[in-house]
Amino acid sequence: MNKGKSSIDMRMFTRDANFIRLFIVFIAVFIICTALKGTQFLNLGNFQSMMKQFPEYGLLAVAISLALLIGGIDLSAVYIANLSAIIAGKFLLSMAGADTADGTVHVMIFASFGVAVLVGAAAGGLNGYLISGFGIPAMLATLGTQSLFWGLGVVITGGSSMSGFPKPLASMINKSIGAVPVTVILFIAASLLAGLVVSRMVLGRQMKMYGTNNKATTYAGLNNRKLVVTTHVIAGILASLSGIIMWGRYSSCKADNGSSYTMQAILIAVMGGVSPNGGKGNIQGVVLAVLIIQMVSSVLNMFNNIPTACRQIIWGGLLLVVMIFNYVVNNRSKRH
Amino acid sequence: MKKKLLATLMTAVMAATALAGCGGSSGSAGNSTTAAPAAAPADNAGGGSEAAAPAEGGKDYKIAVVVKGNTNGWFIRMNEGIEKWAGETGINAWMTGPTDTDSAQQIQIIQDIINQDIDALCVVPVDPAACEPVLQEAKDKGIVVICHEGSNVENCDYDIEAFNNAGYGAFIMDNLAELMGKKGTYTTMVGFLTTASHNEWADGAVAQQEAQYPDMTLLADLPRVESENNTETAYEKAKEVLKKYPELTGFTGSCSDDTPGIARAINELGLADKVHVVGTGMPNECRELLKNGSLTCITLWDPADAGYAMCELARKCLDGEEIGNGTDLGLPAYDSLQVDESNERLLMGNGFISVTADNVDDYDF
Amino acid sequence: MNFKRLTKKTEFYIAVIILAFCLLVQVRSGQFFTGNNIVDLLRSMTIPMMFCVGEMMVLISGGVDCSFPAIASLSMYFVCTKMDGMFDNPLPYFLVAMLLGLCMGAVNGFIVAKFKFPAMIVTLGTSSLFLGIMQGILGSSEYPLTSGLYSLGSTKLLTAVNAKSGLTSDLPVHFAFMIILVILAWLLMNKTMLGRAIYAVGGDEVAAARAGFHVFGTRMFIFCLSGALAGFIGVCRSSMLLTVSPNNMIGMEMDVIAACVLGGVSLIGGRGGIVGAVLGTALMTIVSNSLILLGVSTQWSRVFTGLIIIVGTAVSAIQEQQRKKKLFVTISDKAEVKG
Repeated sequence: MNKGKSSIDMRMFTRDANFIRLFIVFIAVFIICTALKGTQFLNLGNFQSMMKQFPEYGLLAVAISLALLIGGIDLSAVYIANLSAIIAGKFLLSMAGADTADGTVHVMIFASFGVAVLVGAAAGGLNGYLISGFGIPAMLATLGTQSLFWGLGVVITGGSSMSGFPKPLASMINKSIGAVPVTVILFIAASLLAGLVVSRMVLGRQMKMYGTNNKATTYAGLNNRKLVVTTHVIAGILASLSGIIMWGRYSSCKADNGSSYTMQAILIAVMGGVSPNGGKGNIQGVVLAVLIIQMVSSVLNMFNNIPTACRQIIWGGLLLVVMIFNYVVNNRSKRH
Repeated sequence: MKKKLLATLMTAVMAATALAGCGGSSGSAGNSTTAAPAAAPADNAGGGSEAAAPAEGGKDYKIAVVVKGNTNGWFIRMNEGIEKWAGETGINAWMTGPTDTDSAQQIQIIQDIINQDIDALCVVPVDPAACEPVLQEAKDKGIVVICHEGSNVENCDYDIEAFNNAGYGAFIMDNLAELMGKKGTYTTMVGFLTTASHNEWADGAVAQQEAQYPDMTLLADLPRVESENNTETAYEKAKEVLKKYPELTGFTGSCSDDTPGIARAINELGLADKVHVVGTGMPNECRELLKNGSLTCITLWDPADAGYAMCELARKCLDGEEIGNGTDLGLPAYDSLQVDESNERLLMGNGFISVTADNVDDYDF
Repeated sequence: MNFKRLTKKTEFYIAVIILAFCLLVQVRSGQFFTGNNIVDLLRSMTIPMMFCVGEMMVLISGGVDCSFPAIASLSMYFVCTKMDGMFDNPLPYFLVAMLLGLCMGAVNGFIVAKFKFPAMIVTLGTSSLFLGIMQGILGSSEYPLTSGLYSLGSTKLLTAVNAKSGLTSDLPVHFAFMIILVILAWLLMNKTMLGRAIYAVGGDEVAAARAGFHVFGTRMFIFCLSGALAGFIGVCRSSMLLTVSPNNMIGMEMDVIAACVLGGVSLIGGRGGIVGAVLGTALMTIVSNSLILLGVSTQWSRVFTGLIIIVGTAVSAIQEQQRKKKLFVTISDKAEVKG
């Protein structure tokens, strides 16, 4: 009995330790960025610029983390985001034009946000059903739906970007409350909810159990299919939120915005401690990883003579370093 | 172990603060100030002078050029023009851009850059409509905004084109029509259906054909083909199109990867005399094809000149010079700019060139 | 092998789907089963097929390699630009590229084997690293192809002529390389102890170790081989394209992995074979090269491709589930035993 208890304690300790280590990396990167660029980094303008950038791919990273936790992956997240925005955009344009500015336009905009979330949920549901209902490996299923959602976006828009939305849309999304942009608040709220689900709620525990061993969960009485679909629906909703943010920031939507975010999101998730085999990880780590990546990205933009491509060397290197670091320290604590 | 960690952390923090102090002061020494008072609270925390007066001395300008994709040969050539201009004027101008041609990435970069005390921003937007909000921010900070390949952008001071997009498309069509004997069926190829400029050129070509060459027809079943910016895909798609529609006798290419791919396909299928292609191409890539006759002519403009022109235009704006019809930017293709009648922000040069086997050796990019 | 056993294999279903699709294209265009179209398809398949061979080995050993386009591009770019004009014979270019690829593959293999990290993540990281080196440090851009490789690329194996339309298609000599590679891979996986080791390590690493297989060595070998192969293929690609286009292969990894898995190579490891990989690649290539022949408009082509992938994978997944139900009860879908 005692052994069982202490093994649970050990696991919690290691989990927290991973987070602490990531936090140390976060502090270290912050210090290095400050050392490198001083007041150019440490000023309100820069922080605001950074805060405007990370919510959209941060939400995608959280969405993909959920898919990774159940032992799968989601390659279609970005295109769910774009498709949600496109369909919501079409909905909005059918009711209001660029010059509409009366009171009802806010209602219409919120209604179109609702449409976007519904589309995201439906798309996520499709992913979940293909994976659990048909048994298609997640990588293949989401590769197929990636093409499908992208293609649908192209068909609806004809390839060009949609614009001409009522001005209140942009002002709503780009607003700041005090010094903090609305999008950051949305990101924090969504991540908080997702984090609570993963770490504290039964659903989260079930997700991790499924990610560890999905045959055992069947025998344990879990409804596997419902679990997978629920996870992917949540991921789809998060992706659609990201789509709404991009839509508001750019005042336009396009079938293939942010196509480079997929790989970036996977890297962030893994750096944040989510195991790509499933079953391990938490959202707090992912949020930290998002912030780390944003700081590095912004600092690199301050160097005029480092080619942007070198950024990729840093992503790849940082990922490997963090993983090896985690491994080495974990092993050392195991031996004690 | 934890105590050691804490101790190291504290030392690091102290060291960093010391370094930051040095870094901060040297970093802001060379900064010049932005002209108008900033609407957004973008004031520097420490360092950096905050004069409200306009920037003094041309030498202290900072001009950033953000392009569509850093790794594309086209923009590597543009960088040569920018570096040449920077060398001639002594002004700090540099190029940056996303690694993939992704609008979202480009906007992130612009977002960061406008917070770095630059005086002017030259941008070649991937998705012009999507850039409007962030360019608005730039203008609110008093940064001069110059665009290239963004003729519809509202939030810019000027958009400079080597030509106008429809005109370039028409130029491609004129060359193609000549090769096709002004009759036959043709289709257009672009990078993606979502690439704004490629599609504008293709539309321009079609418009020109409809206006000037009534004996030519656009392939109704497949008016536009995607090459996905990949020369092998262009080659494969061209082959497929020629198999399915044997009546086709012409292609227009928009992306610089399209034209050589299509030419190779035509050549291999043995149709070199019957089917023709004209489109954007890079001289180095197409040299062999031009010389062995697979390609007759490619169209393009020199991105180095465009880069040079953007920087020079930015400087003129910053210096408060008057810009309008006849402005000379110091290059043969841009020595007498024309202002577009319907859009006074749109300045056009005279820069498109066609390259054939005879003059391909004059170019090295 | 009797017919019933044949229908239980995923490969069989993929072959049926391929045949059905080919017939459909033939009906819609009348062009599918013509000499020059077949040659075009074979040409298109050459590079992806060679990549699939390497990827299949990594997949069977239990990992996923996402870095092979990066390795191929970097080796190819280095060799074609730094060694430009040095040799007339194309062979040294291939050898140096393979050596570079081997070193990069060794980096992958070492990290995966020593730290037991999931290969997918490690290779995503190294892919970023290698691409960053090529684009950032080497400052890659389009470059003309050196003459030795150019003449290799222009060498034809055979030329097919379509009697009706008069269209000709050339089959490049690289197709022969591909055939040799496929045969060698088949021999390796089915007839050598090393092949057995790869299957064993992918099936259950602990059991393989207890059975006496050298897990570390096997993993290193696979990644080194995959890397060297990638280097070779990179040079092949540029000689087929007749130009050096550094970003050309980026993004191919997903399609190659999908092709392998479609052909029955399991993502978890331990199952699958070269026949499946070949069929999967064939299906993906035929689909992407026949949309125009089918008359699918450019706007709808992506939707179509997505649906094909979904339907194709659904069919093979359902068939897989039937197979599992009938044969045995699995303890876990995950091959590795978590300790």
